[in-house]
Amino acid sequence: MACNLRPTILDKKELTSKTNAYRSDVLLVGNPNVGKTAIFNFLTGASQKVANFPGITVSGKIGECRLNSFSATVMDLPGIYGFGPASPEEIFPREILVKGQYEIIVNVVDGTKLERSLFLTHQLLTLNKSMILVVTFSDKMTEQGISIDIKKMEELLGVPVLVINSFNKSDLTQLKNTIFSRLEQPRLPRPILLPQLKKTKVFEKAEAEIKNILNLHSFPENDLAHLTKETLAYFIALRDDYLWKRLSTDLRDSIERIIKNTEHEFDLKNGLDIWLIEKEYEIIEQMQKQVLIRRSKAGQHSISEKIDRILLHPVWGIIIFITIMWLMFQTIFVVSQPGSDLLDLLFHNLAKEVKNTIPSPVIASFLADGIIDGVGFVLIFVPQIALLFIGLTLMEQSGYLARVVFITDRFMSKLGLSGKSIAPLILGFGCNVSGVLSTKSISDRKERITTILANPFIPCSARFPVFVMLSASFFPKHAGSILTLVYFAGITMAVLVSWILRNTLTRGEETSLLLEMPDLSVPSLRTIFYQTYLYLREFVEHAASWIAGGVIGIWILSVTGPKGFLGPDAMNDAGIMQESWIFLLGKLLLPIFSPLGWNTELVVALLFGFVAKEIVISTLGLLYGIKGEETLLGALGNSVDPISGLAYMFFILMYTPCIATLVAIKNEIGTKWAVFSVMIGLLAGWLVAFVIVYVGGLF
Amino acid sequence: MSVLAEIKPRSQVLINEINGDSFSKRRLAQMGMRKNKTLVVLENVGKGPILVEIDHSKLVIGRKLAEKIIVRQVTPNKAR
Repeated sequence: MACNLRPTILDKKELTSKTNAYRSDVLLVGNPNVGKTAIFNFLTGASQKVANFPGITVSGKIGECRLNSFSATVMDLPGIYGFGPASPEEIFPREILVKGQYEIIVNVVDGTKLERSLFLTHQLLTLNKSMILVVTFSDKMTEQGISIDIKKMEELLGVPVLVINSFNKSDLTQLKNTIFSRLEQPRLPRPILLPQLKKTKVFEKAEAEIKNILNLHSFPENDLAHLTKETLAYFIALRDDYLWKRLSTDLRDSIERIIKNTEHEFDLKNGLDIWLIEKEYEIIEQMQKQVLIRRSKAGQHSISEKIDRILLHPVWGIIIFITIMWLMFQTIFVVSQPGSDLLDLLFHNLAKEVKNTIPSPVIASFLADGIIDGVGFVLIFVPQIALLFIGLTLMEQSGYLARVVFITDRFMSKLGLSGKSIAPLILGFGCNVSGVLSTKSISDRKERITTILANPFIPCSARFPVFVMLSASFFPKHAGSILTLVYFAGITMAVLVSWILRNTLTRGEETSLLLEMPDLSVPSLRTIFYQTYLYLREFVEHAASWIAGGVIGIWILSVTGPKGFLGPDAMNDAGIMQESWIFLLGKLLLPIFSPLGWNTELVVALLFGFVAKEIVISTLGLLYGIKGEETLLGALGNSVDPISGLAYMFFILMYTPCIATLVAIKNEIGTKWAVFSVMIGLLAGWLVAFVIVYVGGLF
Repeated sequence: MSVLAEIKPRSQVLINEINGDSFSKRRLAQMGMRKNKTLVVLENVGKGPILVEIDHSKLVIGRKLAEKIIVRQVTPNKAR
């Protein structure tokens, strides 16, 4: 009975390019927060997450479900509300749905929000696929004094209806059996929506004309041929973004004319699509009268609502939020430190051992300084990121993240962002990688891009030691104030960059915040840990090769030069290193930075800092040929004047995201934006540094 | 008639008209916000978003959007 294959997260790209390889038997579809993922976890034998926050899952999950000797692939689609216009992340589930590469739809609906849930159900029924309707939250329904006439509903829709509690094992087992018996004997449902709509003059006319024009243009192509022309005409009239994308410009124009004419003829002020949506709700209201049984009025004060009075309070809400974030930071960096240190020590010793045992110094250095250092560098991030994702999942699963969005929206809207951007920006103080990864919850792509690009300007914890060291060497008497100034500047830059981007490159239709706020709930431990595991695996798989590659690349540039291989000692001897490619590169770049009063050593340290900002200090130590921070403080202070030093600190604050962050940016929004991120960092860093040096020179 | 953004918490209102950009209008309609539907305003403070309850689900609506939703008050300050 157990399903022993673990589900794997599929990338959107992977899915669309290899749809056939990833066709599934069962598709789980429903609104956000309906308990869909808990069902998925049961079916595929792996506990994952119940997405409490709309839009957090932007990629589909797939897994294998087994019953006796049978096996079926199950895909969990991100939550959607219906066909029609979509933000970019919502196009993917609709594409999967209309392409029809599956046998059966399991439509999960929230029994306490039946009206809204049935809106999607009716649209799914027009897809002409075998379907099962699963009504969840039977426990909450009982609490609220409502129940469903299952027989009546099955009769009306022509599909099996199950009322379940997604955390009850016997309910879920029953669902599993139903799925397999449906897979064996598929039966088409009764699409009541289209026949009802056809009774209206408006739809009758629009549908006939759209159908005609589709025929004239021989649309659709093969992959949509299984859909009836009625269904296609209906989705197109609803302006479904995926289908509209598929239409040729000619066809689009013709259909636009048909819609305009219909709206004009029948005086549809709000447009045909809104009219269709309202009609569908009328049909649902009638149906609801037949199937929904209300025994008593619901008790109004749930515990969730009482807690919400404090969490959503304009003053207390913010205080609690700040406290929670602070606690999360503290926990992440205090708890992860020993783990990271241990891993660091482990890799350090391993590298030492390798150097001692392998006779060839070239191979030993490549393995120790290149590979082991590279891989180790990725792995020391793991404890921190694991804790971060535990915290994030907790916030998300409990429904708290939606509350944070609510209370912070009024501040964020001033920057052209919404409350959804606050958590990623705050997490950036810990680590920009975490900040970038946590933007998954932002469904508006342009807002997401803005939040991601602003993130590297937030001074992460890795830059902290660099700033401490540099401010102490350049400003021995005012180190604390300078440190605060740099932090404040980072926040100001992030705010400024967001504001500028939202008014230029990522200007879009103003993001009108609209999201569902789920009830507060206590997430299960298993769910949290499994979710964290999935995120971590994604991080290690995606980031490892790139980050490790970057470290190895820097190693190669450090131990080789125009004279060929310099020997591994280049990493420990400043004299030899001066012959290396990286030092030459530093010299080459020096003219760009000499107006700022920096020397080759400082520029070379910046090149290393591209891998990770904290490496800047160790590189400076190496280049100045000294060990230990005390002497470096003096050496730096003597060779660079304080104003140039301050400019250097500001440049380090901004100049480029570290490799790990860059890889995260590339994975989330693409190479183009990752390159752009480096460009704005360098540009902003140089300009600010120049202004500091110039203004400083006036005094 | 007034706009949703001006309605005090705990009031029940009837939606009369939804204006605004086409994307938000359609999205609101999908989520059940449509003409003649009643909803209860749960939270409405300062310049923040509005929290409403409709068909047993709670929706967070940005203030700018809430300014484009025309409503008619049914019961002022409905006791909860």
